[in-house]
Amino acid sequence: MTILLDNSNYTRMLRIARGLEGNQRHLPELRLAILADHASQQLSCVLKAALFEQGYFPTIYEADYATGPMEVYNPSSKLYQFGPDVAFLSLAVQKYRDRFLAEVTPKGRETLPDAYLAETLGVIDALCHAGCSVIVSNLALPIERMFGNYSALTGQSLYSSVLRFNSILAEAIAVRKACQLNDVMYLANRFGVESFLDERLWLASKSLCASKFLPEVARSVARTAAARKGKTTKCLVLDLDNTLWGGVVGDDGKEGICLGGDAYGEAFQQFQRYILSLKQRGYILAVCSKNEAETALDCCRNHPEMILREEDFAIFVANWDDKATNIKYITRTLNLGLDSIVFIDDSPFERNLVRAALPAVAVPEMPDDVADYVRVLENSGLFEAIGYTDDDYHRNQTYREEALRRTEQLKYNSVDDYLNSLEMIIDCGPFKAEQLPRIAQLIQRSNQFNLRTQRFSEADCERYMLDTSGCVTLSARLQDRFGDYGLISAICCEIQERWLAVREFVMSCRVLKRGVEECLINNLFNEARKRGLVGVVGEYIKSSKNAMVKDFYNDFGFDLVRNDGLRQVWYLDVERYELKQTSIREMSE
Amino acid sequence: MTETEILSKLTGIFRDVFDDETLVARPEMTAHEVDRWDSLSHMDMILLVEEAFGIRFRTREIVDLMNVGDLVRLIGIRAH
Repeated sequence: MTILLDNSNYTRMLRIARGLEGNQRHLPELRLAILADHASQQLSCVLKAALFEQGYFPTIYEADYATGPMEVYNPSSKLYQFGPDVAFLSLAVQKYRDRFLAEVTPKGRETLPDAYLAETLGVIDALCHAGCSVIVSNLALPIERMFGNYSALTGQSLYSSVLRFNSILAEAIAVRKACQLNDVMYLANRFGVESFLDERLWLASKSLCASKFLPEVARSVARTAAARKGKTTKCLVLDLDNTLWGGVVGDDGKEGICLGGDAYGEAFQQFQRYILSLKQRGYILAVCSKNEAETALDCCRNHPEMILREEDFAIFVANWDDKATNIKYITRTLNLGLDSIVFIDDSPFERNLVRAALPAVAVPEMPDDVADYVRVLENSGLFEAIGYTDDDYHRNQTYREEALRRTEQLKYNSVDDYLNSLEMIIDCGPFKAEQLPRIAQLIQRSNQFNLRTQRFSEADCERYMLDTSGCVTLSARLQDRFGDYGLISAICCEIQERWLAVREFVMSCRVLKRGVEECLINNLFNEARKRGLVGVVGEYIKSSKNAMVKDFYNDFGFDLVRNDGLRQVWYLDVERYELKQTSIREMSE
Repeated sequence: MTETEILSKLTGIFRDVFDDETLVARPEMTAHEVDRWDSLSHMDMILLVEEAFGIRFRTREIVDLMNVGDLVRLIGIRAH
């Protein structure tokens, strides 16, 4: 997966975008508005193709932004009539340069980053306020360094000024829940600013960058937009021989493999450190290797140069079955979708087998040289995150505990015996402010146990939480004797006349069918009763992934009151609901 | 490189950039005759020509180009 840095990639994407009209309507639509202070026609075209690559049918609106942000501040403008899901604000460093050079006083130059940020935030906040997600590009670093190396040390240089703007822009975006960064500075830096910024293009057509780089800029935006919609990978399935170490441990023995020691062996250690850092940022790690289990485990436990150890993997599969079968086993055991898997293997045979058998699995094309592994994985763009919480840091451990539980389950005669043996404790209650990032993340990540798939944002959840008279929120944390699951469910309800209407309801599939559902519904009805409401209205809206919960309300005795195919409305009187018994102890306040 | 060879290469590039499979590059051709030939696609075309012939145009040259014939002559001088 080396990036093609010539114009063929660009023209190919232009062709894809032009061929798109109307014939891909079955895909979910993504409505994106571009607001650019440079010419955006080309970027918009390539962005269409990039969103299509992510599995969306793109509808794009190019706002009239180059002349000023009038549309943003006018609620009845064409921009808001278009109704974007995502607004993409693209800023050119050349425009910033114009402003910087127009500032003639030292003070004006010193304070430009803050002034420019204030203007940009005005636009961002107006868009957020209108209910859009906003993706904002930072600036490529300029070529000009009027002070040479000293430029980095003085706010009087354009170079420092851009650095500072990017830095305070990032800080501002980090605290805005509906806002994400598109890191053009990184992209331009990786490709080389000198070829990224073509001054002739800026002069002649006000293009952000040389057109051959537009595909990567657009893909970066499209991946961020897709990640916001919940499309992220969660688990790395790793081969061992010639992937995590050099050589074949079954043939060469633990002492014979290449790991550490010389440059070649250190390259594998370097790759292991990279994988470990992905684990620390929230990836679940799994081994899928053609080996005798004991041989492979012995190496992970006892080889002195190993960076990754047995406990770094949530599940360890080493056998002689084909890898597609093993990946299916891994997803079943960890309760993950195939589309959340990234399969990393040096063997073209294994990669092609998995691609053919499991097309939903992401399979990056690995290079021949281990020293290129990290660069290639970075280019794959598979690791887009839209936030980071404590649960991310602990995720692999959580899944490891879960795999252990499943093994434990086999020892019990009945499900009830097993559930009782878990000694589960649940903590249910209204949302707390400190939980909001995790709640929003759970809502973005849950696809299967998701009754309406509204993808409420952190800001939406906060609104529900604060409106205590008009809304009811419920979050749940679960723990058992194997460990803490963390926050595993979130529910947002509105009070409508005399009913409690469920607006968003997600639960982590890891805790399915062990009584959590019953606890949650018990809590909802208790809350409805406490508030003097007569019933609960639930809805099931069909998505491509939530068939798992299509009978959810039916199973709790709700009546189907309306059904128009994709959307079912269910209702149950508070009086008719009987509290369900479970094996879970409720933690009292 | 002969004029015919250059024109034939340009035809391929024009079809890509201006999204018209019937285009044939001719020396007297101008931007006005081609639907999608505007200031933006003009620069796309220039960059593709640079890549295809391994040359780099100067800003003055980009601005001064009047028709395809000018472009062919310029490529003829620069490309080897």
